[in-house]
This record gives sequence, structure tokens and C-alpha cells, in this order.
Amino acid sequence: MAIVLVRVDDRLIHGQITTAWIAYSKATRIVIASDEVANDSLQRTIINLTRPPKIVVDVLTVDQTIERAASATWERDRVFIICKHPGDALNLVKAGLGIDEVNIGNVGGTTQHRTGVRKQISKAIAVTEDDVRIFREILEAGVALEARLIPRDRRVDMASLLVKKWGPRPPITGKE
Amino acid sequence: MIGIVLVSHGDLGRELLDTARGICGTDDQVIALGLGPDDAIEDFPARVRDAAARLVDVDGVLVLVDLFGGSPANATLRCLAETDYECVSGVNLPMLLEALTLRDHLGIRELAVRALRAGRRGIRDLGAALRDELTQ
Repeated sequence: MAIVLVRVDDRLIHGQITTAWIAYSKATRIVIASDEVANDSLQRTIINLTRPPKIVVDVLTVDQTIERAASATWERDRVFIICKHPGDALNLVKAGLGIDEVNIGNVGGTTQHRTGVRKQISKAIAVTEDDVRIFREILEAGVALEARLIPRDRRVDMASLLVKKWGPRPPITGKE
Repeated sequence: MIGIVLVSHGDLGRELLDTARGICGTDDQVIALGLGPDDAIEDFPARVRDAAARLVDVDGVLVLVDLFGGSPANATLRCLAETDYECVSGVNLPMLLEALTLRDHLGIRELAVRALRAGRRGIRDLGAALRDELTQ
């Protein structure tokens, strides 16, 4: 079992973007690792209807993903994990699955309905303070973080991007 | 008449609609809605419903979406589960023109079927067709 790619993308599986990453990673199985998605039966129906051809797609909670990674179920698979939110990726990293890099796709976006403030730090990435904290934790665990929508885009190093936007220290919350 | 909502990535829907207007003039009770790279996907199903709600005095809503499997279409599928809209994906100019032309005359289910067929019929191998004609 090899985890060939871990990607954070709140749009999950979407068209040619996902197909490009499947080809790039030569994945044989996609795992959507997200408690939110696993508990949303309409979303699961839509994922099943629109899944890419010739690849298996699992929709699992984070805990189920960790369990299966340790079992023999995916022994012969090249697994491409998609997390809806950065927090899911952090939990996978903490579970000791041997992940050494996380790719960042679409995160957040302008919205009237969201609680908390998002800061747009690149075309497809808008983060809350919580997201920034999570990214820092992933980096502190020794895992590389790079932002790229499609494989042929230039890799953007998230560590440098965070420093550029907030400096080397955590964002000031006003509570200090 | 059936109202139409065009759902797409970026400005594709808007541009298709502008172009169709230039050809057949009709443009009331049609709305185009685009998902940009920095738009939140969570909001999009509500935006599709809001767009449909702005259509006035319509006997139904036909959603024409650009790309099956793309984020705009996936979000539209959420709406479909909760409403009685019809939806056809792969919208192209022939599909849109057919829908605009026939929407006063057909019920929503038949309009969806006709629009889909027109979209498909519009995709032809012109080189081969012409060579066929010329060699007859």
C-alpha cells in the first residue's frame, strides 16, 4: 500500500483537475477522508454518480481511513487521499501514516455565509486563523506543504507563503 | 414559459448567453451564474437556487450546466435533489439556442430532452460530412 498523494481540496473530486492528479500519481484508488462528507448521504450519492472512470472511490471518515491504511485492504493500491479541510490532513499526518508531503488545492473562498474571517492568500486559497495554525502544525511535523491546482502548475511552497503573509510568527489575534 | 439558469465555470455561461442573444434576441427569464476559482463552493447550491428564484412567472426551471463532474455541476446536483428543476450538462450554443427557441411551447421535461438532443446533434465531423457530400 502506498499513499501516493494527499491533497486538501474542498471541491473534492472535480472533473479534469482530479483526472490530471490521478494520471500524475498513477493512483488506483481515491479515498475521500472527511467526517463531514462521510456523513452527508447526498454528497456520497453525487460522488458516486460523478466518479472518474476506472478508479475505485472510497468515502470514509478520518478514523476509518487511518484504520484501513493499517490493514491489508489497500495492499496493492496506490492511494490518493483527498481531504476536504486542512484539519483532516493534519489528523492523517498525526496518525503516523508516513505522509511526507501534502498538496493544497482549493481552500475556502469568499462567502456571505461563513463564520470567521478568511484571508485570500492565493487565487484558490482563503484561510482562517485556524487553517494557518493547522498548516504550521503540519509543517512542524516535518511534512512539506505545497500549493498547486493542477500538476503542471508551479509548486508554491506554503511555508514561504505563510511567512510572506504573516511573517515568521503566528498571526496576532488581538487577544495577546 | 420555462425559465433557464446557465451554470458554469467563470464567465462561460454569461458569454454563451450574450452570444445566443445576438442570434435570437430573446433574453428574459434567463440567468447566467459562474463559479470562480476564489468562490466558496459551499455557497454555490444556494446561489443556484437564488438565481432560479429570481425568474418570474415561469412554469419550471431548466438548468444548463457546462461540465459533468465539474464543481458547478456537482453543486447543481445538490439543488436537483431538493427541487424539481431539470438539468442538462455539456451546454453548448446549439443546446442553448434550442432551449431558448422552444421554451414557450414545451413542458419542462420535453424541453430538457429536446435541448439535450440539439446539443448532441450540433457536434459533427464536418470534414467527413463534406467529403461524403462531395464524393456523391
